[in-house]
Amino acid sequence: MSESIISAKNLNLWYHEKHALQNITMEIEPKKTTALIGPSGCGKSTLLRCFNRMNDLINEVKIDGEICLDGSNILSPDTDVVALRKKVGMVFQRPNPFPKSIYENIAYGPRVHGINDRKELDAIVEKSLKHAALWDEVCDRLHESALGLSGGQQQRLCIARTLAVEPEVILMDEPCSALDPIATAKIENLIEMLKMDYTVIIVTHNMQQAARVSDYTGFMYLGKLIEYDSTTTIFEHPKQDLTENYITGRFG
Amino acid sequence: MSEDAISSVPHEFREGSLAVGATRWETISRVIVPAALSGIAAAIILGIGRAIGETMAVLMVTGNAAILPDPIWNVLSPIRTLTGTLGIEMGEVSVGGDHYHALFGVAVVLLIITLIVNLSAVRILNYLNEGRNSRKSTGPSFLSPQVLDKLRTILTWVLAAAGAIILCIIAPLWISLPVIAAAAVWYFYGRQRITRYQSEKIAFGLLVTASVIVIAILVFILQDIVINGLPALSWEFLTQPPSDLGRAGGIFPAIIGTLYLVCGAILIALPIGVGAAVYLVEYTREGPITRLIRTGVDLLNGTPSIVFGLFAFSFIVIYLNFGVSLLAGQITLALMVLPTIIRTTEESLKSIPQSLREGSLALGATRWQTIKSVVLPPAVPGIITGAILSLGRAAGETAPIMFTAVVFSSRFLPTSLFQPVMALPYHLFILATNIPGASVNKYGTALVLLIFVVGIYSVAILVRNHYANKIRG
Repeated sequence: MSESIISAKNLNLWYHEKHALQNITMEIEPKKTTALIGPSGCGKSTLLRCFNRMNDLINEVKIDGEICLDGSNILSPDTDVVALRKKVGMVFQRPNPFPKSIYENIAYGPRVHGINDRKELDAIVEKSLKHAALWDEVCDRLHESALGLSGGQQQRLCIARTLAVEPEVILMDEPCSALDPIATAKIENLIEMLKMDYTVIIVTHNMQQAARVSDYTGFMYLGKLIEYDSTTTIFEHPKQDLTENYITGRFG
Repeated sequence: MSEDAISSVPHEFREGSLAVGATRWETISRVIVPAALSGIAAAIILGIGRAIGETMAVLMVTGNAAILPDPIWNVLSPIRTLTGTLGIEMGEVSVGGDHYHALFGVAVVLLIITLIVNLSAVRILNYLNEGRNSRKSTGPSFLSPQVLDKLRTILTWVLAAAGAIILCIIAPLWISLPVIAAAAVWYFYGRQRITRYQSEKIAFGLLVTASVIVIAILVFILQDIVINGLPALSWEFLTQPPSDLGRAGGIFPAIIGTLYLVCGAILIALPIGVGAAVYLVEYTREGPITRLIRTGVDLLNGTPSIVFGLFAFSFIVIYLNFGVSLLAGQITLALMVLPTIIRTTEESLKSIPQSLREGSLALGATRWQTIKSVVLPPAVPGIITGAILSLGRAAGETAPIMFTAVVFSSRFLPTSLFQPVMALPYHLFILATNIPGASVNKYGTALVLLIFVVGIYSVAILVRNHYANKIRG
């Protein structure tokens, strides 16, 4: 692998008494898509939420180890979490548009970062929506409520919302699990496009999806990162028996 | 409030239960009510607290004879309540005398009684909540599930017994006893012999009866006031100051005074209450401190309004030397409605999905930005509801303002915050108790007060709906 953008070293996380992440060490390559797969409760989402410190919002979580982003440890207490989350955006499992208009949803991010010029905002909204392949569907109703969109459109809106603050990394937590196959296909195409400009880390239950969209895949099981390699290697020549069993559907 | 608690039970529960072939009553009694139990219990606590602390309504009908009923269970004997004593005598004693201090003693006793009622209710509430969660939580528990179950059964019986006693006391005399007895007999012996379809019908019948009784009471009160009050209503009545001790003339200063009091109270209470609620929900983590604050707010909520009045009288009016004034009344009412505003704001903030907060934070918004533009706007209808409830309550309260803000008769409107005002509920109270021969104006005042309160409610509901529509876009 070449120069990594994120590197986790000996990352451990406890939730209450539960040792949810155990000694995770991994390097994420820039402008590639990395998939995290594994059975439910293996810690994929927890790991993902470490990368932008979303776990801070949950009580009784204890973390040690380090995660370096652009050379600085984001787990250290003096990290500017707000700035970190601008750099590392996140798309959630269920679409969570704000109860505002489509335009306001996209403009929200730039606004909180201090952009108030109407023209500039217009440009950002248009660019983000186009980038998220949603512009053609919504350009004539930008000021209607985002809650009137379909689930797939809402999820692309959430992606556009993330793009509007120009992050370096985009975390996706099972972005398609609440969507139908057609909407899923659209999101997958979108991910394919996104990796030209962004580093994408995606958590998914769906192994075919991981195989289709990612360059690297990590297989997690019971809080451990069992195997992490290029997607082709993981799916065609896994080194661990556990990985092979999971990939071939013998458990999980 | 019970309705809120019941309707907040997720629809899935209902469908899940009906889907396994339970009858509607079985669904209600085994699934929905247990899930809504904490809300219902909270409603009952508030109800009891309110009943103990009520001054004015009790003052008018209990007779105020300082005697013990003889025999003690004679519910037709006149009695005197703690609140009544305070309400009557406080206005007549000199500040600083023995009598004055004795009245504060009475207030302390009253406060302690309500504190005990409320605190034990809060305890029961927490206990029920913990009991329900204990199966899931991994936290240390020295009570085994069996013991817990047994305790819960005992508690339920204690509650039921308390309920039965209260029922016996407040029920319209002995007429209802046979009904209760029949219900008890049915509960113990008849249960097995009645099929589930019959019990479905019986339960449905009882529920309908309860609703009819509630509506009947409401209709009865309304028609009494409207029929008697309508003749008094005229343009002069609404725009003239009173004359001849309120027997003639109008109630204009009282209307304006109430308006001033209520608006001032809400202006003071809303920022403080919303601020406290936002802090509790958004900035703190659940822990002993937030529990303490919450219990404090609950207890404050159950504190009798006359105690607020007394406190404000000694602290604001006398110690801070505000005098009997509009401002003192506004502050007193604000203190009284503060807990309601805090709790309702808290509830509406909690109902905003966590995913919206996460979505905003994940974009790199600060916590305050998130609260300001994502969490608060959809919570506004709920906050307004809380303000409505408290507005209505503040408008109708007499006890907190009778020593702090009002005079019975004033020909002029107040020109500053430090002058006393007239207020509708106090005017009504005096007309009803101290001025013979003011029957027409009395009912007229009651009607105006009623319309006033209903008006507040409907305006606020309109505002709320407007907001709700705007958010849906």
